[in-house]
Amino acid sequence: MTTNGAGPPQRAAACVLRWAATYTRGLPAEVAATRMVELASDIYEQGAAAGASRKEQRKVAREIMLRAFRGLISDLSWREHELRRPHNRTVARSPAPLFDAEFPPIQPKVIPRCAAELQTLMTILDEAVAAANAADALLTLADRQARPEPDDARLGLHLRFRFVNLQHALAELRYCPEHSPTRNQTAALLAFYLYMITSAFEVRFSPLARDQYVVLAHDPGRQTTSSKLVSLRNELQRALTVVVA
Amino acid sequence: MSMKLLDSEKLSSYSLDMSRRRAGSILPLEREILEAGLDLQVKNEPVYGFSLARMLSHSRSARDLTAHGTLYKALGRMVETGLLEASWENPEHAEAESRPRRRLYRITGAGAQTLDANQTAVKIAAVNRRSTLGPALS
Repeated sequence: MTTNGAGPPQRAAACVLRWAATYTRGLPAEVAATRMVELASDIYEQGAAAGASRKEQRKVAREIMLRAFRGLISDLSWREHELRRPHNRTVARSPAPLFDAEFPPIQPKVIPRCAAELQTLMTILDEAVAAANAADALLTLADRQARPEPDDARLGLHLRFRFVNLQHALAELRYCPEHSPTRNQTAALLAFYLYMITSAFEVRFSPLARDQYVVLAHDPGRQTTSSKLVSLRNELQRALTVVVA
Repeated sequence: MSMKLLDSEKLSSYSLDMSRRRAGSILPLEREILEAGLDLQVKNEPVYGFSLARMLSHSRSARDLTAHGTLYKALGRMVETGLLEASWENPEHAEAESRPRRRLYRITGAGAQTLDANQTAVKIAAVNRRSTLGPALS
């Protein structure tokens, strides 16, 4: 599938993902993200399996739209089913503070035997916050621009490498089980940013989907992805300072 | 004139499953997914949404791929009932090929057993039908 510019399959993909962002609205972040990523992968694979000619590209775009159209009733009944599940009873149906549900506040306590590992985690979080800030700026730009400039695309690729490297560093980190919530939340946020940056230029991620994931601080009272990383880092910093003192 | 209204309960395949569906029984689409998944697994090929959709269209000799909503709703239901296991692909593989990450599926032991039992039941039903219709057909 061509990724330069928006060809018929990319336009169809954007349309299908916009519909998916609509029917996953108000569902738990994990459920919604799973459906979106799985759908993005499926559409990408279908586009990649098509030939490069304009005619074939148009044909595959039609097929993608048709597949989405034929599944509308199933999409809606799946949504109803997900909303009825017990885990959803406390989740609002409208765009909700998803991070409150999925990322409960953590107050890390430093246990001396794992202080060294936590210092490494602190370094990872420092780097993650810097990369997340750069990613937020790039995602805003990607949202405004019809087509990314070469420099933006290069920065996007660079950020993807940074997030992947951070994921590796986190995966290799030895850690105490007591700190797994901090580590798990960091891992989830890194995966989220990696996905967003990967998708931004591939399928023209819609503002609707962006709002759902609360990437930008539309509501100052609500924690965003990057502010969640900052608070994870600050909490850990505070706990480490106490131990050192 | 009284009119019966259809609600999502009646339209949804979820209303047929879980509580009311007979234990061990599966829908035709679920049987096809299990067959396609096992075929892919035997060939040591990854089992994910699009690979299943492609296999299903080949096995039905159909031109159209299964609709997104139908396929992913069925897959989710099958994971819930333990017929399939799902996991995310290693991000390195997706990165190396510059494509979105795949959600990989594996047919569980329960899934394989259910498929086996279902195929046996279908064969028995076919034999019974033939023996019932035998005199009429001969």
